[in-house]
Amino acid sequence: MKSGIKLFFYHLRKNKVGFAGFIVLLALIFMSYILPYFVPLDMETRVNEIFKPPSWKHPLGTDFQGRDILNQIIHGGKDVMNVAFMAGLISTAIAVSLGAVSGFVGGKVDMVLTSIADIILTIPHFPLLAVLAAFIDFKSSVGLATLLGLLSWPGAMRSIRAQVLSLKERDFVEAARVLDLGTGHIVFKEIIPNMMNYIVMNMIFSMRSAVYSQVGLIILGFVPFTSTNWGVMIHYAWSRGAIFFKGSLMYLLAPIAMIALFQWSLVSFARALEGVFNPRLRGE
Amino acid sequence: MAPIIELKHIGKSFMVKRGIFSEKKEIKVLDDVNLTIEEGEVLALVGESGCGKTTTAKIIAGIHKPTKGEFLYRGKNVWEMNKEEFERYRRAVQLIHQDPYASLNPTMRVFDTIKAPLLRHKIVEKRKVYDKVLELLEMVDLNPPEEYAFKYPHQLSGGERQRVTIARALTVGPEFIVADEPVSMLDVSIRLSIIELLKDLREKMGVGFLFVTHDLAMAKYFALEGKTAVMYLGKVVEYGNTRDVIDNPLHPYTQVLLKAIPEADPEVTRKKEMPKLRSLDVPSFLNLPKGCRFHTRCPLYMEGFCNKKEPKLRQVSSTRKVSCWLYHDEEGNVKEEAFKGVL
Repeated sequence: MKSGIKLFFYHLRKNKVGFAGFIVLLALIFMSYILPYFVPLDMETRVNEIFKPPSWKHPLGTDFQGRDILNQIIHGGKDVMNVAFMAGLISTAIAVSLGAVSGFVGGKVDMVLTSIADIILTIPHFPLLAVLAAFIDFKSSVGLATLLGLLSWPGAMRSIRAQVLSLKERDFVEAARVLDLGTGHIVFKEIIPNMMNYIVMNMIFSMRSAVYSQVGLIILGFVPFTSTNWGVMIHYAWSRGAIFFKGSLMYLLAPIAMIALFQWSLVSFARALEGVFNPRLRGE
Repeated sequence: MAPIIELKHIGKSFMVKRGIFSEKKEIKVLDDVNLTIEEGEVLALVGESGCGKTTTAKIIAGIHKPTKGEFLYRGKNVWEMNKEEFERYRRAVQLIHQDPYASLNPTMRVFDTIKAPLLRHKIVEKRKVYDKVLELLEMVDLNPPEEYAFKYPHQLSGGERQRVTIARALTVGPEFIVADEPVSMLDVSIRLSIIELLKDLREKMGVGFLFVTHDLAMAKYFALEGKTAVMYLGKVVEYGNTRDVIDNPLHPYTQVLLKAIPEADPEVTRKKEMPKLRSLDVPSFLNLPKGCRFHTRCPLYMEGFCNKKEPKLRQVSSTRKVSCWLYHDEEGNVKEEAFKGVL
């Protein structure tokens, strides 16, 4: 019998694109969380090196204050990823627990929970976030992540509720009831594993949208930015006129490319996970 | 002693709504069903699709709650039991589903499926669970058991899956098994081996069975020493020893059902004289015929009688019950001359 982790990698490797996504994701995580310990953040202004094109000294060139762009890319991922992971976790946790309760219990509980979800769904998120940004201090990424998570669960919750509604009528759930295996077993062993890939997909998609909302807020300047991050870089590249200089294209392109790469790695990794969670897709 | 399973005037209805403005309508899927099953007895429940067989099975398995009447397990109403009694009932009565492709969780290996009830009900210690699972798999003829234990349902054939569901039902040591058409979804070639397995379990372990089927031949094969009940549109129309019911059917519906079984030899089937049904359509539950429910199709229909009043299931001999105006009158007096030649 193979162990869990071995099995995980065995099935992951079967999907080549997914495995590539997994590797890229690992690389990005390594770059953003571990590399900063070895490469110190250098934010010193060098007037003589403003908007320099890529060179050996500055592989991606320099920004409007003569600072190294590669250095900022390395240090700028942590914030974006922190918010993405936290917001994804929070929104998925809410979506799964409320969706499972709503679908399993039904009746009035279901009615109340789905109407709450509907109300939140109808609120346009981005303007709301922009307005809230004026009142709430987003200095810590935890605050922003919580807010993004609290706003993004209803869609996933509704689809998880629908899945639970269909799964709970299946014969194998009925068999578990006849065997008196208990509600806990039915929910966590019979129903949730059957929608695990669905849950993971939802989590990754909510991480994806958290990245966009967060970066969007920063680019537009709604969130006061205190640290280096990819969103802040795009904001400055835009507002300080990097697009008008031939040599400084990288200041705008590098953070955009990193964000796109991060999103791509998430989505393709999610697809590979489908094979891990669904035994029928493993093709044994 | 009280019989193990007793249905008393059981009725089950569902509410349906057609369209936004129409009123809710009640569909009586079961109407005044009375059945008694003694310890270790086999009862075959026969009828065509949609007659309420599966609903009856699910009421006995405790999945559906009857809307009328009482369902008793060992003399106690299941839906008024305290927690302890209900748990005992749950373990004593098990269900085998019709479709083995739907009744096994696709994300669980055979081992996990069988392990769960063993551990939940503390039937074996944790370290002995593996041996117990293998023992159960061996009992249902899945050999070698070590190989089957770590397979996923999608890696098994229909017959193998059904064996796993049987092993799962056996984990809790049931006294009574509700088998809801356990072989109808399987290939004809493996049906017999599954039936043999169930028969074997019955003989070795003394497990009682409710064997739901639409196939009279299967009912005869499995429940030859037991009882047979024939259902039509939510009512039991005939009840008796399997041999009697099948060799000497009394109710016109049973007679027609028996005639409808095709013979292996097409020559014989073609030459067989088929009874003349008045209509081939089964009436809808939403629009049940007045009087006897079978009168719209009955070949022995008596005008002005069958379409006026509904007959009740009446005792016509010491072991036989039938609900047909041919055999008894309204007061329950048996018209002996009607079946003198038959019995």
